[in-house]
Amino acid sequence: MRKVKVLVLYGHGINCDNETSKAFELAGAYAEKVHTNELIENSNKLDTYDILAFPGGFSFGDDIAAGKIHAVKFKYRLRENLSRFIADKKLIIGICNGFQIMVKLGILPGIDNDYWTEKVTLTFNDSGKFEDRWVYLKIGKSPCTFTKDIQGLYLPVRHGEGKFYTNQGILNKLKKNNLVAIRYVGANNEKNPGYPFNPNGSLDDIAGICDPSGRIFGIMPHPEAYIYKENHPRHTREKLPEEGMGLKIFRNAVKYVKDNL
Amino acid sequence: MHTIEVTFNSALKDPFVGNKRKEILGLGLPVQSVKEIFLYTIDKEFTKKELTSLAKELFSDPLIQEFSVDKSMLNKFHWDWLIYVNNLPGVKDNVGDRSQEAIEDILSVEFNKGEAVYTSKYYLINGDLTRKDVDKIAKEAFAYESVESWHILDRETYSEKGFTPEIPKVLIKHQPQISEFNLNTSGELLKLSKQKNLALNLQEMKKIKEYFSKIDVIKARRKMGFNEKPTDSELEVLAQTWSEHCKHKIFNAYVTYTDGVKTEHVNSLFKTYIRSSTEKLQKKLKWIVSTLWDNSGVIQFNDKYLFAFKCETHNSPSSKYPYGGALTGIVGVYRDPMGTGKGVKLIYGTYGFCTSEPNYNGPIKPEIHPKRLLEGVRKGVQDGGNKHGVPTPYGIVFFDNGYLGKPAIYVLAAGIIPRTINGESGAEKQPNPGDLIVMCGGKVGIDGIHGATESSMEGGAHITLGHVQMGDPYTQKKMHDFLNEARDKCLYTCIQDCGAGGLSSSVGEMGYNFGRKGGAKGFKLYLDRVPLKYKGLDPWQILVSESQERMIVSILPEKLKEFMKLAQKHEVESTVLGELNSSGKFHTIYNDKPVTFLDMHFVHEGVPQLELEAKWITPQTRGLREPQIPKIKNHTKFLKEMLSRPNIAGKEYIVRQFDHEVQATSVIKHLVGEKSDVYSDGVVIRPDFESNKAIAIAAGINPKYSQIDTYHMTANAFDEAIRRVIALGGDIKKIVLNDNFCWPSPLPGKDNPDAKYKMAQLVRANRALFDYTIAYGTPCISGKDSMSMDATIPDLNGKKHRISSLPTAMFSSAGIIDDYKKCVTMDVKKPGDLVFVLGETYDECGGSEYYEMFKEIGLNVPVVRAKKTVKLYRALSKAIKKGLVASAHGCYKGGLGIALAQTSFAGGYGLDIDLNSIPREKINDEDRILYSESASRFIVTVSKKHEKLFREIMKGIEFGLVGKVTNNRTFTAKGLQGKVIIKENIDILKKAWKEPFGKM
Repeated sequence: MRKVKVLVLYGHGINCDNETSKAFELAGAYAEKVHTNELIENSNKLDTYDILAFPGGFSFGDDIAAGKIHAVKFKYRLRENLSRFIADKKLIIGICNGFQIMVKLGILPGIDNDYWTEKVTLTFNDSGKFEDRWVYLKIGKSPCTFTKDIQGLYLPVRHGEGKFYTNQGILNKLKKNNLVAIRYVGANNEKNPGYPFNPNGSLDDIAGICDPSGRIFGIMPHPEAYIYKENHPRHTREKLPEEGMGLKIFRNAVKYVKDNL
Repeated sequence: MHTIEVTFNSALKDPFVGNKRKEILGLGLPVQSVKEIFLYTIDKEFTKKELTSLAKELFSDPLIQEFSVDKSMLNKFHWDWLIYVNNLPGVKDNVGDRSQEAIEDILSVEFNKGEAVYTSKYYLINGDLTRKDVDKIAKEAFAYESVESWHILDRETYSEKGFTPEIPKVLIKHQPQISEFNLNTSGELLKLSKQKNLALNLQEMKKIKEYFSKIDVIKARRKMGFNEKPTDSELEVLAQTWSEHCKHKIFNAYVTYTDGVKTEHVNSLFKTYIRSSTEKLQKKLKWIVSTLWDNSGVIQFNDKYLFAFKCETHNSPSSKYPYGGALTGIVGVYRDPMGTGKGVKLIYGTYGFCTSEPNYNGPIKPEIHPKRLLEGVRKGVQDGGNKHGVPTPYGIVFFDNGYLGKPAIYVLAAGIIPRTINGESGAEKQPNPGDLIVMCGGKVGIDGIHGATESSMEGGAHITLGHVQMGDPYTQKKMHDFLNEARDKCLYTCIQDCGAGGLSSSVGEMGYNFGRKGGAKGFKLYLDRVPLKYKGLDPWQILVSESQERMIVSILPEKLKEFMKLAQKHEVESTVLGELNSSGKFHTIYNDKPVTFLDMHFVHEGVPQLELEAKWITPQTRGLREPQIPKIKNHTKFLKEMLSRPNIAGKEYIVRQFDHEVQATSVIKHLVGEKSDVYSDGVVIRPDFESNKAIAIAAGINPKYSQIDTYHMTANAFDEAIRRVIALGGDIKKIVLNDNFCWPSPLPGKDNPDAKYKMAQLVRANRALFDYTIAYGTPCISGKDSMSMDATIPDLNGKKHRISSLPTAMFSSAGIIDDYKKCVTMDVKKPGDLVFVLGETYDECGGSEYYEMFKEIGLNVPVVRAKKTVKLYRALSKAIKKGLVASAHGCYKGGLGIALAQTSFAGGYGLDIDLNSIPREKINDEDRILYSESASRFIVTVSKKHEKLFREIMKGIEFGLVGKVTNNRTFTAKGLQGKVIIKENIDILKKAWKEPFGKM
């Protein structure tokens, strides 16, 4: 069977590259860490992969705004390569800082066939604080490849700029096209749970979105932070499956490539 | 020059503005609103079109922000007062630097030397305020005097005159020069030391004078183009290398100790107590790989990796600029393990914040209020750790008003190195003669000059601010990733941190300490090759500047090309500065002119030994007694008051703002229990996904006991650090420690009348370290001291007071866990489980939280009974490994009462406890049983089915079955007479514990 090849970006202050690679490996893929500068230097390199992952971290120190400078780099140095990758119907996932890069680049939500204009943003949490806490998530009805057959997740958020925001028009479009892949909910699936369940004040409790194809996905919480049972904060007192819940996201991606590409 | 202004538009509330407003209200000033405008000032020519594109594409977010180009927005908004906050010249502007990088990417241009981007801020304030009020706001909430300037304008003045911000460009109109000093003027030596801020004493200055008048030295120097006078650089090199910070002169002093009865002599506390203990244990414990010579100690972790860790303090800089001080501290300490052996991959960091109470409202007026200080250092470690991609899973916070002068700010870093790299041990380094010396990382500026000498001085106005700096975790993270890759490709032979003392210390040590067996001894360094932030630095400044984020490596010439290529990929500036040799000389050159030519041996070994006297005064002689304290009338109420005490209460807000889970290695977190909101005894991380081995992480500290006896203070801190690891499932056979001594100066002087007593406290602390490391078999593999925890600060009336902190020993522990799946947490797990107390309770309330509640110190300080303790720790480890223990929690500050309540409310079940069954000796008083702080005790819950086995393992240990876990939410304790004395809902108890810091 073919080996699914994942490009996990690193360098420039990205810092979840190791565990993101590990998550893809556990899901059966071959993951390779590649520096953004290697992609710029070798313009065909990206073409050889099936999945592109923008991991979490603090690219460029979160300076000016989280994800902004890295987005600028992609826009001005790698636009063609990335366009080709999208046109080839390959998969892209952005986690936390990766999600911030993707929305500032515009490849999310990618509505109206426009992948290069910022239409939604992720900005400072309402609390004004960086927070590391676990949140309950509900998967919405969406074309998202990564969240297929998942109902809910429990994962940590670790960010200071995770508040999802956009204007009413865009929000309506997101909802109409079922692009809100994932929302913050209460411990018992309650809607509009408020802080700290919605940890950052995100509009409409949005924690992750996908593009209309479902192949491009961004999520604020960290699925790669819960790949082993013992990553769970209460594993010493609750009955939990051996496999971390976050792994499903990566399994879905690998399966999609095997079935479709 | 162009300015782009950016601010949040009306779509969203700016969350920081809300926080800023709260801060101002906290100062008791009436403020209605605050608005912030961010300024990017670009010192380079661009067209209007280019600037607008930059404002749109880079500097603002179209959905939530608005911008203006070369035209101020100030007129657009209503405000009464304007505060403009700007960096002082030379302070690192991280956002500005990154903006420049991005502009270069977008517009495909390059910034020339001298061109740059600067950031600054406007705060627009509405409110009925006077200029004095606004000045207070600027000084106490918005800006730090040590690194920022501010300008205040009222609306009227602005309308009349406008305002043009100035950029803090560094322009040194000075031709670099090399000065010489005449040491042959008798009596002027000390004056010279003071003038140049060298912090060298007369004896040391004389030694230097003697060196430079030696015939062979003069001869050798003449040959190299010097005359007989030392250069400024040479004096600086010696001052840095001989500083207390680098040479630990107090720990190496010859001490005469008397306790009034007999007199003893100790030739170096370090060698006698610390070094000898570590060496003794290293002989016995084969898994200890390397100690006492490198930047940190190294042990075996698993079959693939070694483990190294080191804890530092950054007290002086943090007292002046808490954010920058702590940020530079954590980012700086990372470089210790990064420069250990062949260089680690960082796997975790921890913190320790000892400040005075955040609500301090006494007469002494420190420059920065403790509340602001604590928040500043917290934020510094947050940004340093989070942006470096290193989890910060654990730390301690301790309040005592002795820290009003100087806080003790601890930062620890740990990492792993492959056991072997290309056939060589990962713990070895071998700089060879002929290797090139390469500097990696940031550029050099005047920031951080004299860090090593100034941190060795007492706090006060005479401290210049050269040593206050701004760390840049982004730049260092890039360097970390780069160096890890270079290491695995064997591209360098030796790696060394460039920290205190700058190039002078780092290259100095590389060319001396590390060159074992035929290695390099001496070097030649070209100072004109050092990349500078701006022109005008004298060679001595280049040599001793402590500009951050730099590492030094030595490279075989044939590997240089590959090394530089990799550096380019990672965007890490790397420059060849010179080469190592075997000359035995500290040789530097600037534009072909000789700068230093010193014997390496003299630089490193020449410092004369201090002689210090130590005089112990017993606690009884100091007037300490056991106090008469009223019986506790309402135990339930008292317990809640104890839970709310600042040194006991939970501080979840601190834990949550550190990324404690990055790298996905976290397996026991600092917050555990039914709601994941109660402190665990420590944390566990598993740094290698392919192995079940893990590291249990904790620390021990309680300087309050220093008020009675520093011997026991040290013993208790030591025991606590180990106890916490044992509670998680650690094994006393595999625990290592890092010792940190933060001490008030024991150097005699007219403003330090009890110097001898402080020295005696230090002697006793070191004896405890020796006694207990040996008794437990747990060595200190790394350590650090900070010997000037004093400052002179004014009170309300301007009268000056010398404030010294309590002598503080902190131990950071790391325990190797064989199987992380067997670790336990402190929260009770299920109703019906049996509650055991392990270890005896004695009448030991001296220095306790309980006595402090009554403003008493007492005399009966807890004594650590090593033999019994080791036996108990072994037994508990065994029980946990066998899976018999549902929860284990050590007793710490506040004693059994606090620990029982915590384990209950963390688990979400009540407890039924009978105080009669608590194992104890000569103590028959409920108050003391509950709140005595005797060491080495645990509360353990065990399921009924494991009771028999558990009791078997505990044979020979003092322990008692004291109650059980109930199926309700009520915590109940029966007193010695069989009467219920505490009965309370656990949610109410938890609230008491969480509330004091609940709104931070």
